[in-house]
Amino acid sequence: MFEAAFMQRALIAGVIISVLLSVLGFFVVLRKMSFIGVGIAHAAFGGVALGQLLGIPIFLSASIFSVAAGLGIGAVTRHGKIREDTAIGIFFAAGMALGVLFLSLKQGYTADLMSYLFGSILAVTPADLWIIAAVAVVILVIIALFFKELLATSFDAELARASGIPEGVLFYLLLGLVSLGIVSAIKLVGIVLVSALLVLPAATALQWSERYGRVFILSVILGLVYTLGGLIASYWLDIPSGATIVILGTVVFLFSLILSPMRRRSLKHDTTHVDPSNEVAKTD
Amino acid sequence: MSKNPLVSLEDVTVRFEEITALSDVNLEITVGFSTAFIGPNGGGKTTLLKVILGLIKPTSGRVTYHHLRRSQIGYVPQESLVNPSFPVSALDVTLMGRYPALGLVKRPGRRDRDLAVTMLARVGLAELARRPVGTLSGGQKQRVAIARALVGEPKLLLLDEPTSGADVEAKDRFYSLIRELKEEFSLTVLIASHDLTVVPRFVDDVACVARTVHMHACPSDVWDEEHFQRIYGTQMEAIFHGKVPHRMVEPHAKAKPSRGDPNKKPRRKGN
Repeated sequence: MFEAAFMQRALIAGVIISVLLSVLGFFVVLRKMSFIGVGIAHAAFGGVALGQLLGIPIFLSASIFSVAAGLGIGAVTRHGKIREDTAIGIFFAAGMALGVLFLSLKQGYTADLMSYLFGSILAVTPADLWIIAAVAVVILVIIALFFKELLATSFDAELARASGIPEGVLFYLLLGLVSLGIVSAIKLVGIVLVSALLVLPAATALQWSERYGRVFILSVILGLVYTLGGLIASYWLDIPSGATIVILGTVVFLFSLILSPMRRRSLKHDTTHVDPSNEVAKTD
Repeated sequence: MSKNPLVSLEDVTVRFEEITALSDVNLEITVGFSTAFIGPNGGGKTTLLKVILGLIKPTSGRVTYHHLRRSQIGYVPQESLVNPSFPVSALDVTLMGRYPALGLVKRPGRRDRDLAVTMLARVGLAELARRPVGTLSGGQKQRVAIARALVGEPKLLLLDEPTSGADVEAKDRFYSLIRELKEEFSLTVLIASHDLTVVPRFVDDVACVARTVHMHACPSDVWDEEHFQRIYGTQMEAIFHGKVPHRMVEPHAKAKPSRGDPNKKPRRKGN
């Protein structure tokens, strides 16, 4: 199976994407923004369809849509009076609606639409691989540069801002990077399922450790296991790659949830540890 | 006007849409002094702290810092570290206080780690350094937040309702610690609180914040009934009933003249 050129490309892309999305997902999950990936990915559908309609590179048009959606959701929730879930719901639907509109304008058969929606290991071209690799290098370098600031702002945004960390800039930077990361994974995993690859590794890792360093490394390892395991299973069983990856990840997550030392401990704490300082005087 | 100001506020007004949170505040924070911002809930204490921090831009008026960089202001918010599932230890959180001093890219080194350990020990949490911060009690989290502020080597320390919910003994211990830290690290300290009884005994100045800063004076001068009526209105009743019983005796037990004891007047009247 490793001789097939498409499979080699799919595996290499899978390695890059799983590292990339696990790293981004680490912050997304810690910031409790998991749902934002769903909105960004679906908004990208508008870009995919526009790219097909105009015959421009789909990575470009999809990136424009997803980055606009990511930053838009961020801006609306931060400065507007709209809740994040509402904003995501609107951007999600608007992106999909534009996609349907663009597709209806394009005459004839749109061949690889299904592979964009649900992902395909056949879809990754050599050019895609280069784009994915370049995007991943840029994103990972930026994350490495600002890791501690991203960690501090994810933990407590206001405290970080008070200490002079440019929290707003980092917030939009992270959203932009997540949007690009999602677009780079769409071909392999699909619009519908890509957000799972963002969320599952970190969500699972959090069941096993309370040290951020370990959670981070475990996220990356789990992301690799899900993606490579899913791709190989998908090849042998001849089932869609995206679905296989997500199902594998979900099964591991559920087992982790049941076996988690964190969960058992936190259940214990919930009953024994009532925090008195939160009960009185919250206003001003 | 004080001779040695650290921060000056001139005619500062803050409006949130229709609501005026602060109006025409004129205030000088003097180097080396501790000041309590006392006032009713919703009176603008937190807003005032955030203006001084630079988190809220005044609608009008001016804030001037005198030889004070933003990274030299330590902040302990009302509800610190309220992200219980975040996978960081008390030491990790304390280290975050070093991040601004380190600048971008650089990771904390040996010296930063040592400083964080020292500060955690200083606030009495040495043996809890490795504990996930989500498992600590409210008071312990508050002390982690102080350690975090201290590792940034601040000149000015702001505390927002640091002891809400704590009992009197815990409050006494807490403010004693703050007073010690103030001397030890030559801090200027601002404490926002609606606690009238405990806080004023531990600070140099008391400023009453209810939409504007009503006065700025020594605690012993502050507490006459007229002022209370003006500042607290009906709030006064609630605070007296809720908090007083333990404290009516305590200031007298010490030989000190009951500095900042708000029960003085009502008691005398009752007799």
